[in-house]
Amino acid sequence: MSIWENIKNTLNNFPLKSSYQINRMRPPGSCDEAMFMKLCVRCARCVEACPYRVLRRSSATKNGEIGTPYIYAEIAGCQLCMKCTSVCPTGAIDSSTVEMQQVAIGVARINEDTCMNYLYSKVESGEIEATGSMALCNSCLNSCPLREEAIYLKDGIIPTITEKCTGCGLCVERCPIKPVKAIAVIPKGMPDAETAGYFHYLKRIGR
Amino acid sequence: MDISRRNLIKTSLAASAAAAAGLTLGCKKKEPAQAPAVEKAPAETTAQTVGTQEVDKWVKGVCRMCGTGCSIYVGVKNGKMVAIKGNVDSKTNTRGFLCIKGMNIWKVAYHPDRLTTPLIRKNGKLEPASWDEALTLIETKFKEFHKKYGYDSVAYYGSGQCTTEESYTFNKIWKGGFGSNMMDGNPRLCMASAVAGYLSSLGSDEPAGAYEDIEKAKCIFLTGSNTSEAHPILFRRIARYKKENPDVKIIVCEPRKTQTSNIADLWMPSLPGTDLAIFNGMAREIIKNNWHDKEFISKHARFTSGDGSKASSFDEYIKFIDKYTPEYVEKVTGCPAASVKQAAEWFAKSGATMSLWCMGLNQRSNGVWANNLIHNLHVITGNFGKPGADSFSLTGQPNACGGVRETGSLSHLLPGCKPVAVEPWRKHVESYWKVAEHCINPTKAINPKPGFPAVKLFSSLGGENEKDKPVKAVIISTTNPAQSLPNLNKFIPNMKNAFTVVIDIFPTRTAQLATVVLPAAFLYEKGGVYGCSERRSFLTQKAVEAPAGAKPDLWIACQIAKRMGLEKYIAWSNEEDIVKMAEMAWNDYTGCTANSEKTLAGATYKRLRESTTGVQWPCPSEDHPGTYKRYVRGMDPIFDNPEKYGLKIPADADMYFYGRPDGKINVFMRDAEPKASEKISKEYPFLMTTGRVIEQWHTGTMTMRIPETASAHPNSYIEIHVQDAKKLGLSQGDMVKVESVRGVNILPVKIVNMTLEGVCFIPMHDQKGNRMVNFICSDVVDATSGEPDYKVSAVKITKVSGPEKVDDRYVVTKEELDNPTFS
Repeated sequence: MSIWENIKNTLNNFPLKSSYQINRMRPPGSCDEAMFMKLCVRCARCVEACPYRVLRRSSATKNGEIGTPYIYAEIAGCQLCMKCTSVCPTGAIDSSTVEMQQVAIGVARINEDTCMNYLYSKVESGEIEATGSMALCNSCLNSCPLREEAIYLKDGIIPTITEKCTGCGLCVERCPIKPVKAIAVIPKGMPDAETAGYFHYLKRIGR
Repeated sequence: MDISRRNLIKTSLAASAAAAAGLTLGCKKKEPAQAPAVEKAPAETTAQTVGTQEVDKWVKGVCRMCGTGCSIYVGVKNGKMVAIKGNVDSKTNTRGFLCIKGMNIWKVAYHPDRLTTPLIRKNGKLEPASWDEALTLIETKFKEFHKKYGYDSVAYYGSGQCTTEESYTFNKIWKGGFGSNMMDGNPRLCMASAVAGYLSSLGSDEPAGAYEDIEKAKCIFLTGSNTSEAHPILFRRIARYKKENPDVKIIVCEPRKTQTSNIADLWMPSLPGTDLAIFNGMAREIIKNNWHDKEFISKHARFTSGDGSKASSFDEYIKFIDKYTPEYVEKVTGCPAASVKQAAEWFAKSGATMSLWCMGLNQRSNGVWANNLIHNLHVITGNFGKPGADSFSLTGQPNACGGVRETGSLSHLLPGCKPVAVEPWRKHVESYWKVAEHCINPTKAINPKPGFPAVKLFSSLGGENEKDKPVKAVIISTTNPAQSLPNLNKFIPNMKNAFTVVIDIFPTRTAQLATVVLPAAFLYEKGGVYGCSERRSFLTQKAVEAPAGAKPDLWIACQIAKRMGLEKYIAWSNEEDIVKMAEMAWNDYTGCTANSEKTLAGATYKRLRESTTGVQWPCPSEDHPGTYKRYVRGMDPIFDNPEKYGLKIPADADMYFYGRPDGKINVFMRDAEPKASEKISKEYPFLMTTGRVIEQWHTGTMTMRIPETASAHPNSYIEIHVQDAKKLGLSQGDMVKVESVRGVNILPVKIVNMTLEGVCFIPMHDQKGNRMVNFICSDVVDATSGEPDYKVSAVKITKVSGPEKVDDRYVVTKEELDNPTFS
């Protein structure tokens, strides 16, 4: 095991670090992570209220996050029905969130190297040689509750995410690419794709 | 965050290498920064698998899904299908593009639900039986019914997904062997109006042009088609062309603002059922502004009113359409008057306009008329016969054109797509088939009277005790009418009471009602010819063996023929090898139609096997390259030798519509009022329309079993306009009861803002009883074509409950075959 691996493991298991993960979001209308962790009393009312069984309680012990609610987008995205917002007793989930447009629990990102429509358009423009392995799919667009607002097809083919993306994760759930989905949601608070997760922590300690 | 597998392997490899060299690796700070949160995928993603897949062989074929006719290769490894890739040389899916459905379709062949034993219903339970037992039962019953109730009491209901050889064989058995026209197919539910439209306007079925015209057109008029979802590859072809040529005008006329309208220069909304007024309005605008092509009209147009028998004049036509002022059109359809004017200008003045339409026009109570009016627009603007100008109907099924229209496997047609009532052709088919010698019906002839079209067929179907229902038995191949017919409540008991035989690869809604279920082979397990929308026939070669117990439909047809005493009549019925069997059937078929304008005489099996592009008819000889454009001298081989096809073409005519006796296209005066369609009322205030989504296909029996597509569209829903939702107090995901006079659905709400107010939309793929939209759909049919009006139903919407989890990807399982629950 290299030194680097050791550092990484230590950081991963560091008890106080923030533990953002892609495709794992707080319920719609949640306040920011630090505040959420302070306010959430693990009563699981939101989990009970969720008609789609999308909210699940975390079983991870790090940071003491066990019992807090998460949406695991790869399993199922949030349908933005807002049934969970009104039941939160502490305000960890803001009960004034009623319209889906108000939600901002993350932002979806598309992996341009694996998204089939990206590859398709690259073949069209001659960037990649045609091999017959390019397929067209609009699943992320069709699954989006804010179709044409949060996501649209640039030039009729390239799925493009706008700032209106709520981070519900439905596109992740429905993306047909296997085994790693070609779209992922970066949860709110996670700085950006490049520096997310424990790398984000590295940045904060002044890498 | 996880590290991707590749990175992990890399890191551990580096670590072990370093350990071997006795070194300690320094902390490479840069490495983590390079690993983005959205991971670089490992090699085995869905799309990339195909390119890198190691297979034993790639077998040529055609996609099993929509009517685009994408050419593919099936990858076979150790005798099993493992992948599908596009054919880069293809003329349909240029550069080998595919869609998500086609790429994954091979997976259904290995689904655990595959049927592999014949099943016979005994005391209400479907029990496994041997092939001999099942076929003997069919034989006894058919013979009994023939004797007791006449030859018309046994029906066949086929599909635009059967191979051409299969459809032709069944057609030959029924029409010539049994002397009964009681056979129809599911193209009746999708293409019949287009057939009747082409026959009445142009005199000969199927488009004059081809997909090639897309890249030559200056204006593309898409109407009654959500091409982006129903024909994604073709749509991409249009979109790509538009992107490269921004001057090309694209007009979309549709009630919903779909992805298709996103590439359009002009979206013309129209309330469901009203677009005929727009077409007439455009014609009026064109003539009023003097944009019409006078020379073309004088040479090639015949104005007529009513059923086409009485000739009329151009002046009368002008008088007739005078009512359709842009303002009137706006009032009736909801389409802005300015848009009608603009569309008329682009349509007429572009130089080459291509119209593409699909079920939005066909599945209507006035579907044939809608088709006629599109042809009208092309005639008065002279948009026929030149590159990029055509009125082109898109098909929904891979072999509706080739297998059903061309082989005439509908109740009113004969091979060559000519009506049974046309005597000379009927006599030709009779003598070619030697009907007088082989027919088991004492009439010893093909019945000149058409049989029942699908909807009438299934309403006349019933048990032996039902005196008012003359059809007692039906054999249903490769289709699922218990889900795809409209107003299902009316037809489900009929199928249950009658002697119903179902040939399918999976348990379906229809199999749940069947008396006998026969397990079929999948397309790539048998091979056969498919003909797509642009008259192109393409051979799928057998790639793998069918699972033990499952048999090709052609083999089943032959066994039935043999048992019914038609062994000599169906010459290929004694052949053992399915590929040889299909080849013999194909040769018989092409021989039969060699003297019609749909000749495929030059498309021999050998040629089709070698060709990577397929062949477009008319193709009279093996050295003929196939025809891109019909009706034009120099391109259409019919002009070289019209006498051979029983036609007369004047020697000086460069363009001649030989299907019509005078060579001129009928321009019909068709009233736009949808008299038979359902209207909204106080009680049922919403217009409901149905359609496809990209990830699913038809009744979902296949696509709901592909994990990728099932998860992408796991359940049906209702799309409601945001204003309507507000009025009804609905929010996203609420469960609503959608109710028409005929039936009820319980569906989750999807609120959208891209459709017209008062219009809602439900996709048609869900199999769950209370989400099957066809319980709601109207069974009003077009008077000429017999095609049901799926696109216009009046419904009311009431809230049932808050959101519920319904994304269950429901499919009918083997266990549910015995007790169908439709709720």
